[in-house]
Amino acid sequence: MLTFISFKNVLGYPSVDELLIRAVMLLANSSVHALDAKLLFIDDDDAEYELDPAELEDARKEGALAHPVTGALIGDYERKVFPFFVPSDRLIGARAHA
Amino acid sequence: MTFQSIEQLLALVQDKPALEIGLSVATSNDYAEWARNINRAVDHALRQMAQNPELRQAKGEDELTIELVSLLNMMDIEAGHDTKVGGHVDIRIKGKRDYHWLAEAKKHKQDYAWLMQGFQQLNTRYTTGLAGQDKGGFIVYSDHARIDRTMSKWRDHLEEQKIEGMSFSNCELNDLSFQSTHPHDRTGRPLEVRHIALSIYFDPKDRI
Repeated sequence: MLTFISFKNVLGYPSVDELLIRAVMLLANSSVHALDAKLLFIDDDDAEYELDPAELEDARKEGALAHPVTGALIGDYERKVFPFFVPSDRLIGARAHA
Repeated sequence: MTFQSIEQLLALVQDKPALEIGLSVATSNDYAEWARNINRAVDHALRQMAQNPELRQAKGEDELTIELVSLLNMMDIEAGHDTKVGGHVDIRIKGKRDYHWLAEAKKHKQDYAWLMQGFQQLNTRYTTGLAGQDKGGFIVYSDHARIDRTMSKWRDHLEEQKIEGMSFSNCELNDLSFQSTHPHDRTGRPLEVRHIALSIYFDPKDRI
């Protein structure tokens, strides 16, 4: 699992900044498409759930995220949802053929 | 802490709309979301271009399009001008999973048949009508007053052509834009085209 923080650490950056975000964007977008973006929700009990992007979109419309298990509405969900990245099928396929 | 939350990320990009849109494009999870964010990027770039119409009203179609493509490139969007796709399309944007968003751009000469020709180039020459490539744009640059009326007349003109199965809707991103949808000639899949306006009209009335 790759996160903005792990990229920062690997590159030795003091913080996540615009340049680092743009570099990760290039890996996740364009015809490079080496990474796929995912979302992780961590609740107050530190339980982790991968979120469907549609759930985040619904949360933005409704102003609250429905907990994936309990259904309880979480208003400050943006503090508890974390983007992360995984190697894309395209990258995995390219490595398999290398 | 090994994670950066959405809240922290949004705080980093909050005063940088181009970065926020670029991030949204990069993290789009399907073609519909990607195309919607491409439309946001195009609108952002066109808003920049609308700010100095006096410098742009004499520019030709290609110059304006090249400027638009450059602005999109600065947002880390993979846009190209005059790319060969069944002909030389004005704007081609590529994304992951072979996503495409193609656009034709015309400088309006108060000639709706001229616009129609451009629309049909996009419709029947450049677009494949395949999944992940069936959304695009038709950009109208106008150096005449009241681009709202131009777009309204263009929509009426397009409707009068009675293209089989064509329907229209308003654009949720921009009230000067509208959207047409019709079955693509090649594939029968719905081709969604957003018709987008840029006014470069400039006629200040403060001079004595």
